Amino acid sequence: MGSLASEIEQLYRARYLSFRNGMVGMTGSYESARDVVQEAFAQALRDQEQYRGEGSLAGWVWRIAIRVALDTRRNGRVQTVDELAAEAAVPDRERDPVLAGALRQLAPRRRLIVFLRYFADLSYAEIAEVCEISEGTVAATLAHARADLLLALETEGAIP
Amino acid sequence: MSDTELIEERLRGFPSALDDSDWGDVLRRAAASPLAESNSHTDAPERPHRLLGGTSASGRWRRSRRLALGGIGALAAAGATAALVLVVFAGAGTQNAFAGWTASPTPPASGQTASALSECTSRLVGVAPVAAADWQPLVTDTRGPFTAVILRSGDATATCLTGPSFTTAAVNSTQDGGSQHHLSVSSASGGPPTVSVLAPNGDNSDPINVAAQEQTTVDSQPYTLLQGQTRPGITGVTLVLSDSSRVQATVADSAFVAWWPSHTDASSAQVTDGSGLTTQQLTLTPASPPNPPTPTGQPSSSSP
Repeated sequence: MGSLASEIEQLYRARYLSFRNGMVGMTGSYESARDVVQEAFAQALRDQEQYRGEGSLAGWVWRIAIRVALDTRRNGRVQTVDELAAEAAVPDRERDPVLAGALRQLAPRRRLIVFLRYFADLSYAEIAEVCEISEGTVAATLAHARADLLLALETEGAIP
Repeated sequence: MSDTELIEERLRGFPSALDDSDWGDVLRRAAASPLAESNSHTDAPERPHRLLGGTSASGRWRRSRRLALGGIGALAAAGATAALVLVVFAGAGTQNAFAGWTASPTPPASGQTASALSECTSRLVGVAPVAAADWQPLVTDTRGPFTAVILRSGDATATCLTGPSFTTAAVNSTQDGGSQHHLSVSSASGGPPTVSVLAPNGDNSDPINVAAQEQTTVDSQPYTLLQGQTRPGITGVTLVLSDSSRVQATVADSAFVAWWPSHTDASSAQVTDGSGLTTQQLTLTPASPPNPPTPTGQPSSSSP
């Protein structure tokens, strides 16, 4: 009786930055990421009776957020998470231009999982739930991504 | 530092830490943003596979429709000398009228309480022999986009509950010599409210010594509103419902009000004052049954 709405609010207050920073790569800007997150939580409140408890509440809201991002980017082209990953953008390039360049060169799926792990601070289990893959695949993908990034940064002379 | 740690540290330092969150914006969207017209169940994924290639109904607006609502009077709780006149106004409904409700009061959004007060007092014009400007808010409770207000003007009180898609209002008047509660309600989309009052136990020292609970519906969705008076010095009231869930009330000027989106009865109250926390059982007994519904949007009144 109302407790799920409170849990949704608590999730928002505790992990807003995680959601926004995770979505920023999928939307291309902090402003649009914020818009997606706000709308995702609003949908979660409206449709809370549809949450069956089959998985984490955060995972459920993340999937709503990705759906909202898909709607935002759709324009008749983007239909799936993989397609969204292919269009994932790197925000704030001036913050770390070398790293931003290396991120842009990552394979789309790897880039998306890097965003979810290091921008959104999701656990391996949460990423697996959101992307519908195994935790082992998450770990392997991140290992490959880190190796790609390390090589790119070394090539650019950006790390000792 | 290993290569992995170096990359991870650099990645984690990349995104902006600027917090631009706004829960009030979420609540406004929840109350007013697009809903699926044909089947909102397509909006929220039930299983992960539905993400792939799924569609949503974003951009479509659910049709609104008129509904009629009910309220409760504080004087109903005052005992046998009060005649409760309930009035009902029509509003526009949504599928989930109570989306965004919280078990604890929330800080009001900018202008929320002023807007609610204006809405309530304007609704009461012509219904009660009280000018809109003469109503004074006794206690105001905000929960997300919803505002409940208890108003007073002389011996008359009014209760109002407003949300993004509805407004309910009730006027209560005292009549000399009255001996029973009398309700009159017009409602197209919900049944007349059921009112229960705190059974007197002869001990006026109880923390809560007057209370009235109303259970009614908004567009076929149930809600319960409980209001009452407290002994001076009470600083907090948390209602414990019969299903063990808790709803924190708003307390001000020896009065309290809370509401929740179900017909679960309040069974006790945890009351805080300067000496600590006490629990008071709430024995609520039905008041007089309401009159049969009358046409929507036509405020009605009756006397004992």
